[in-house]
Amino acid sequence: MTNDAQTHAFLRAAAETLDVSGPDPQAIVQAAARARRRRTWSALGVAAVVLVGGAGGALAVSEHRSGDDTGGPAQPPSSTVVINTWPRPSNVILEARVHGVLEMSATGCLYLRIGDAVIDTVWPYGFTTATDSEGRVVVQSGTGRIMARVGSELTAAGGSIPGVHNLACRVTPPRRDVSSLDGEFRMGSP
Amino acid sequence: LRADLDFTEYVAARGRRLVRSAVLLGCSLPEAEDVVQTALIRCYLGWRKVTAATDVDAYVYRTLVNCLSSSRRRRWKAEIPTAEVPDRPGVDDSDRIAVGASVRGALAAMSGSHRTVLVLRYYSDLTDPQIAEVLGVPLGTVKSRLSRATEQLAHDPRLAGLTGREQTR
Repeated sequence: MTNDAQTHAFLRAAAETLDVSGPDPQAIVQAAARARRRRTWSALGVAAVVLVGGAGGALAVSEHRSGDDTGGPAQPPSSTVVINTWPRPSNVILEARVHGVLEMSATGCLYLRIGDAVIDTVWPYGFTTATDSEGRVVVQSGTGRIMARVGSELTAAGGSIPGVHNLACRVTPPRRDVSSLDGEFRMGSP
Repeated sequence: LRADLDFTEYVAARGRRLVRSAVLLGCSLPEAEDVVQTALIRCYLGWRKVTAATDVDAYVYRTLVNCLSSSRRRRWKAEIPTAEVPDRPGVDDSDRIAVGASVRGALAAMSGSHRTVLVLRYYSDLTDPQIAEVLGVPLGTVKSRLSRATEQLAHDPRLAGLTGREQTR
């Protein structure tokens, strides 16, 4: 057997003994359509949900903010917490698993730490920030259900989205992909 | 609509191979599915440009390799050797599964550049010029990397004694 044929056989054995289901073309088409819509919206700026803390009140308002946020994790948290949310609801959910620890920068920007890397996140439409009964910063759905907590592990369905600019809350360089957290939120280890 | 149909056919025909290629390039299976999905979304968004390219496969693989690189820079600092046994091994296929796991271990031990040319050439079945286009390097560089990578694989201790098993298949 020649080196060439042997290498072919080795690589095929390595690949074909993997139990793989192929990507769903329709899901990709839908996700692409959604990414296209997001590009349009991103040109207008992604909404930022801001929690003004302090006096115990959880006041969530939407506003636009520009500029980078390069601060490290904050201890204790600042009085203003910011997350990015999509400005419109969508039925499409990206299916890749996103897992990391939710952290907050010195200026109150929430992001995910995955290993020793960090990634900016965009949350679903309607998500807001609040503080729980112990005073910890949480992210809640439009119905008020707590979906994530600063300092806790978070697993969600999502995926990388290229080309989202003008994030109101950002800890990575402007051209870096962001992670869209789309659904199936679970706190703790996957 | 025609473009959607073409894209769907392409993904149906090549999707599994793309995911497997990403695994051999050093991803875990969930990471591979994620990266392939990202790459295919990008390709779909520019499908007209992809199909206008002289070589569609080279274009798609270049997108995949670029997505893989950027994903690693962002989140996967440590490569994960994929030496685990697949989820549903066939009862009478244990030799082949053992060979597969050994080869994946050997690939994981290689440098990224050697592993990439090897996978693109011997699993993805790209030609040397296509690989040069995918990686944006001269043809001579592809040939020399392939030569060294093939030698390294042939002499990897994990694969010693496995040649006969594969030869009989």
